[in-house]
Amino acid sequence: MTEQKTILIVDDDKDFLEATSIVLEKSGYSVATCLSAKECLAKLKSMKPDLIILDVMMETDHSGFDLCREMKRLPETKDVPIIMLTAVDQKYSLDFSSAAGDESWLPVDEFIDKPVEAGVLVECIEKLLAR
Amino acid sequence: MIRQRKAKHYRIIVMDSDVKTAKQLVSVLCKEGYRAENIEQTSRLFEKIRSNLIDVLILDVDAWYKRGYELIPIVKSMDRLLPIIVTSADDSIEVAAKVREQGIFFYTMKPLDMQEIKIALKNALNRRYTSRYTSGLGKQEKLGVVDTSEVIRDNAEMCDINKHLNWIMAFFVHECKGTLGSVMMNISALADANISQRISPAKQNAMLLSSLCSLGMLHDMIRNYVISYRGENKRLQCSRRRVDVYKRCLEPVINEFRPMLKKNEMSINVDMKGNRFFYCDADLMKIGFSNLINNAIKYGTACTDIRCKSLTTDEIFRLSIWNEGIGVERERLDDIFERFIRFDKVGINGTGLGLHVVKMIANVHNGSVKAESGYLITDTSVTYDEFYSNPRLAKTDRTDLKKFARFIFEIPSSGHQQKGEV
Repeated sequence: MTEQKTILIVDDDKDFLEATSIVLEKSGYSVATCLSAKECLAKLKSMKPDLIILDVMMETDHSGFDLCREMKRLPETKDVPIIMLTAVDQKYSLDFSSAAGDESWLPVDEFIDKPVEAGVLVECIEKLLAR
Repeated sequence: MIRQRKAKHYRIIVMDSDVKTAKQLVSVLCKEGYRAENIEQTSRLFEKIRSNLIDVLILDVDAWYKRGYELIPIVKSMDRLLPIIVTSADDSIEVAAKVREQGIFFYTMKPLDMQEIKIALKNALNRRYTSRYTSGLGKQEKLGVVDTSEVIRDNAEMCDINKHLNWIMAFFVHECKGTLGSVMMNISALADANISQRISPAKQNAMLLSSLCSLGMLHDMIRNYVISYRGENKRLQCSRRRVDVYKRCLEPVINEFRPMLKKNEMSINVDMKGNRFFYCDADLMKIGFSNLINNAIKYGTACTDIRCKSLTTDEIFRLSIWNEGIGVERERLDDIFERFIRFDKVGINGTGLGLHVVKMIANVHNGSVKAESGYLITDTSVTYDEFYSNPRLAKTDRTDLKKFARFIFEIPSSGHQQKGEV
């Protein structure tokens, strides 16, 4: 029997966390959730997720970017794949390259624009975990 | 051709509450060849502007007792073309909105990216001297009936306004897309046989209820944005007619919120006193009530009651909406009705326009709305003022105290005025 993978979702939208948790749990994953970057860093001290789904704008406009950099710096999380799932439109609104410091450096494995269909997200997670 | 001056001729004034940042910024700019100077008193800043000894102002909004943004209109009234680069350690949308809508040149967050500041400064000086050059031309030469300096000035201001509007639109789109995120996740999961067959009927119902609530919120966000836009452009019309306030306005709104109340396991206690009829704009009143009730549910504690009391007399209509929940911070009670102010940024979607719209609606009825908040002491609502003025209560450990928020919406009688336009 294969080991159940754990996914950590970091998003300040409670409804989205709830909906995504149901979808991922029913797709066979163990799910942990955090409402803020601060809560996420605290949680990472006691768990090691197999994949992280991360929002951009939480406490501040850039907290997702800051958290992403921090997680890629920490030895425990630096190899964990990250999906950046956000309503901030990469093409039209926030200037990602300036907000992230350097677009080419932003170390996420996948970028998904909200709203996203459940099937698309699950497929993306499966692809990243199979790597 | 515009003759470029050397950097050393440009006078940059830095006004920053943080001495260390100010010194660092001045030092970097001086190394770049600018005549940079840090000043702390507003009187000195005004003197520099009056004496035309300033080319760009770098202003920290936390300066001047954290109300640096209030200096912007004063500075602009003294020198409309002076480029202002604003810095802030507070990256909240409220501060950003307050600052950006005043037509500043550039807005950036702390810690400062010196490279970004240098580029902004260079662009600000280009604009300053293009404007000045053409402004000088304008005095001697006229392009038909249009003064060149007027064109440049209007163009520069239009550019700032556009930047602000783009930013507002990006924020609004973000909130709408965020709200749609949970709807799409729920509905697409229910429509996907592979996923939905593993979800219990009770959970499926909960997902549908959650989606319905999110769609209601999305509808309200769009409506508030439109109303707010109309209000800002002085195009919000108020048509007063004699209406049964409960039947026509309050009851339908409460019914609209049934799904959201159910989701949060909350209920509304309504206590109506006085006359049934009042002269008001029923459509606007419904929007106002809707925003107040929405607020009470969103920021209220699950499984508690919302208290809705109204009093209608020949002179006034008064509605108070009370809820137990996160309350409103004492220092924010006055500005909670401003645009983009939200009680709590984490965990709740919203554009921060709802209460602003309530205030607009009160205003077009020549009425008012005020917020009260404080602690619940043995089920009694004690406002912050009452709490802190009572020596015994003020010593209480506040850690575990529950909070409440109450909004009091009041409009005077129009003297049976049939129609008023604002």
